[in-house]
Amino acid sequence: MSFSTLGRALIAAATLSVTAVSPYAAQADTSYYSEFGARPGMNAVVKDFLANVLADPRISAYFTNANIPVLDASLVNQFCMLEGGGCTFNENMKAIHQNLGVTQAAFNALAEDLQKSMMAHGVPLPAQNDLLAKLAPMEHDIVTK
Amino acid sequence: MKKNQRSQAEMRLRCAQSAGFAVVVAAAAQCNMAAAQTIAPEPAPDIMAHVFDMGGLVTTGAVTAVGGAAGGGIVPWALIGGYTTQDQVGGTAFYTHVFLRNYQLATYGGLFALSDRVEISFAHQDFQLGGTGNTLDGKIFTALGLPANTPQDLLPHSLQFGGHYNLNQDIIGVKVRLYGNAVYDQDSYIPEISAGYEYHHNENVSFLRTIGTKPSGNEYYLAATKVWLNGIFGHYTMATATLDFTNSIQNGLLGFGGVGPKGPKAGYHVEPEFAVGYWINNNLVVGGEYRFMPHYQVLADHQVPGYGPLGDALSKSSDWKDVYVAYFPVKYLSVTLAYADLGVIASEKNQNGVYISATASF
Repeated sequence: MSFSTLGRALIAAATLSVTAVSPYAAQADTSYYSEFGARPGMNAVVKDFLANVLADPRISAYFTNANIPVLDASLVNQFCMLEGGGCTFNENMKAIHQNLGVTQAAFNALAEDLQKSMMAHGVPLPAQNDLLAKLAPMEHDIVTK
Repeated sequence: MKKNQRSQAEMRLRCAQSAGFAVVVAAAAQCNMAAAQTIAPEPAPDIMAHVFDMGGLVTTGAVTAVGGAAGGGIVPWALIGGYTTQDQVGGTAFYTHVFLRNYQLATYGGLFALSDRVEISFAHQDFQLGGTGNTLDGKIFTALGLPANTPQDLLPHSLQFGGHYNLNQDIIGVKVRLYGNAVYDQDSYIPEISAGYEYHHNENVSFLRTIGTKPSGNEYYLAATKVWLNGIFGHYTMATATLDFTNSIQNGLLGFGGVGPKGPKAGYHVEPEFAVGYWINNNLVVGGEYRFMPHYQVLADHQVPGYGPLGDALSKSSDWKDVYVAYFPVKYLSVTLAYADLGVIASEKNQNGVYISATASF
């Protein structure tokens, strides 16, 4: 009697916990990408990020000749790929940047502008830091000066 | 446009070639100015703002250890101070005050950083005995078996402290980054590695001569620092391990070298040091440090009969440790609050207390 009560309680508890956990379990499949707000969220973060960059006197001059809509789409794609959104991105970072003379200071300024935009869109810190951690080693390819 | 790009590239190449170890400040600044001019043609850029631009990605390297080097409170880290990148110059200035149970330590100084490669630092320390100086005088009488009302002048002058005695030392340091970058190298487990040297000069020469230690000494260290941007719980996390090769006693406040049964000893000790940091957010870091300290004998019995027990009491020292919170209200300013435990100093036990420090970066 007491055993079956305990059993029923356990099943009830298990059912409850599965119900409570399942929305998170679904999110976990796309890792940090969903914390950026999936496609719409990533679009908004990148749009703001580029606006920050173009308004940043430290680095805006690097983008004088850039095709901003193309760059925007490319960054959304890259960040989506890096954060587990299932996109493909196979541009060669070294080749793209080799003639730009990017300095370490410019690289850091860009990272700051990205941070500012992620902060403004309320991206959780671990998701922000995961993207930064994936972008940071690209310093070796991007900074040529 | 093409031509302009090429001339920019040539300029950068020339600057990169000159940005070696011994690059002079003026040359580095000049190159940076030139680079700033070429990338931002108009309106006229604020040259100084570009030269001293805050290059750092993470709020690291903007906290200062008591020895003057960039680090935590008591352990130097491998990071070069300030926020310089490979084509910038910068620096920091700091003030630190430690309120221990019996003493206070006031320290100020600054450092100059070149191209995220070399750091040159200076620190001045005042270790204030305060009222404890009188207590120490009493202990010396007791150790020598003299009654407490013995006239002061029966003691050697160098062993009379009174109520306003300070142990002072100057520290000049240089640190060179040898390998890696703690922040960029997220795809590797290899830390940033730097080698450092500190020259200490203690101004209390006659006191140190009496206790048998030297007024100047050296510290050589090798520091390794790693920052994980997506560290514990996805927050920035830092770990530092430093190996110190030193002959300092209480970091040089009681001199260098110590005495053996046959006279002065200059033997160096190898001491490990550790520091960790965890960024609660981009403005707030918490962490701890542990610094093993060498132990030397001072004031040996053979110098003056009867000094043995006094020397033994004075020789006791402990490892230094702290837990800290560093707050960056803005990126170029840090305020560090710590609880430091320095153990036994000059025979007085439990020297722990609050450590307050501020560092400004430029």
